[in-house]
Amino acid sequence: MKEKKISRIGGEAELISIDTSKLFIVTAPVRGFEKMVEGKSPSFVVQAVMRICGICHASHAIASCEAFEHAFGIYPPKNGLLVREAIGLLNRIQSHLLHNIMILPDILKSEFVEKATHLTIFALENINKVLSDLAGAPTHPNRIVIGGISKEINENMIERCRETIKKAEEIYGDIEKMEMDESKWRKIAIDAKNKEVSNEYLASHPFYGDRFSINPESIEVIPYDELHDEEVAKKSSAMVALYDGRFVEVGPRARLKIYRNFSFDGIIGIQIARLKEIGLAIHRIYEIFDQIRSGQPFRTESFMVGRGEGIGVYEAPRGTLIHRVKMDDDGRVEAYHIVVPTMFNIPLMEKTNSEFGIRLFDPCIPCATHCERVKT
Amino acid sequence: MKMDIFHIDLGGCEGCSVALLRAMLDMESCNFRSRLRGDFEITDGAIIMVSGPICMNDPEKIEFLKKLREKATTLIAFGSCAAIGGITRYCRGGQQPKPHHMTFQPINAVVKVDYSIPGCPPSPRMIKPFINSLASGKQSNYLQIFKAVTNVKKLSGFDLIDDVILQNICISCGACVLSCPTGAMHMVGGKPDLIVEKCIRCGTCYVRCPRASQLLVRRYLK
Repeated sequence: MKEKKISRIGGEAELISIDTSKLFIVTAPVRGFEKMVEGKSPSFVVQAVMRICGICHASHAIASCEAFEHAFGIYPPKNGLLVREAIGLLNRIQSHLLHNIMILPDILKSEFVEKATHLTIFALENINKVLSDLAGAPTHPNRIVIGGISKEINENMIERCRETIKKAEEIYGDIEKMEMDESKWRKIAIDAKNKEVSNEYLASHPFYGDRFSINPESIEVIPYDELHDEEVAKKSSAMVALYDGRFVEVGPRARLKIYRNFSFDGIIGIQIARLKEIGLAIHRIYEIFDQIRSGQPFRTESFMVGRGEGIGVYEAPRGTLIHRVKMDDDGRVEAYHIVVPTMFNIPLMEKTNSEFGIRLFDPCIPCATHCERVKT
Repeated sequence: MKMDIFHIDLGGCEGCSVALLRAMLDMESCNFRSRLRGDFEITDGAIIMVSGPICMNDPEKIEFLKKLREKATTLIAFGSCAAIGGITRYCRGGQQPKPHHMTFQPINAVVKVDYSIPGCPPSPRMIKPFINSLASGKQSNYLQIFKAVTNVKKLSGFDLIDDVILQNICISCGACVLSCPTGAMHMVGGKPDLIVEKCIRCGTCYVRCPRASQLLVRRYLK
């Protein structure tokens, strides 16, 4: 048995090799957000679940808001949904770029890594700026609220954001050109291109998330040690999710496979899909900016809080994220369940049998530890 | 000579790791190492920044933290979870697959900390002057605030209300409202007021308040 700490991923995990198989052991402590939010009021919950993850913060906030809105039977005004979608997409770009910084040394030959990293950082800085403008902060943005967005967005602000995104887009063009150039790739990257995998895919929407296009009842969550018999598997603080009893891949490639024509079946396809998604997200953000009508409401004006159940499905940077909430008579949370994308991906990540393969999936450890067994 | 600064996360949300990465990109005065950029070995006598809370039910992590303390000349608790508990002050355990992970504490519950920087996450505008002050080697007023925070294990909007607003020493500058990462502070009748259900106990408002931060320094350092 050989163990190795994996670096350049979001969070702390170990890769344990036993004979020929590899185990992905999550060693982070379980902070237990689902238990933490029980008995709390909805506005606390949205702020709290955002702090599950510092990389896909907005995604958790949006999924949580969607779940509460479903429970209360409200639908935010169009402007609110549009701005929220833009914030979510900015978070997606942010996360993809951050992952790019982490994975570049694996893909590009060493002489190109520094330049590509710098470009990525420049693009990331611009995206952070837009996110601060639109959502209040680049990490844990606080303007995502139940019923829409807490601050009205005016035309000047949109114009400013558009300018900054244009800058990011130009830099992104350079990054894409550099990273898609196979002559600059390292050998493991080329091998990863040729090593084809045939996974099943799950995605709910190309940009936002849709609780009607997947069946949340088909999701089953099991502890990691039910997947592997080895003693060491008990150490892991992650859970694993199955859809219809099968392992499914979620994330950028799954979205592009289902909603676009995307043909890369090599494991490096995930990274290529991620790069393509940045471009698509930027275009969608321009579209959203054209549709926002200032002067019209951004937030549901009033709603009743009470007993109810809701499901929020959102396409986080790493894949389909599901929040389920049950409310009590006082409008406080009675039960809360979260299924995160990394839980779906863990079995498929292990199948790639390499550290590089795991990194390609961009596992998010802070998220993966916050999930409770769902009884079916 | 450039300072070597290492960043270690004990199991927080990684928001602090990302914030540090952003702030340290153009810092000339130090070599910054983070696991987001690759493996590293911590050298003896290093400056170590720790983010994330310490789980008191995880003996391995506690041992690891104690070892970090032995290696570090300066140990910095970075971010609210490591400094004063933050959102993990609400943790109550009982969740699969590790229901026994119940007690989370700021790292000063286990080891002696030299500086604590609250914030969820601390902004680059807070980090850069801090690193520069540290590099200059002088004990500035700015560093003193963070030194004083190492003596407390919790700070929240309630403390600010109790110590500043109810004592009538608030100058209505609005720093707390601007600094609050969740928008839990707002102005009512010219004075700050706390929206209690939004406070995540990150302590940013207390440290940013010109009155409260001086109270901390007086209480613990003078």
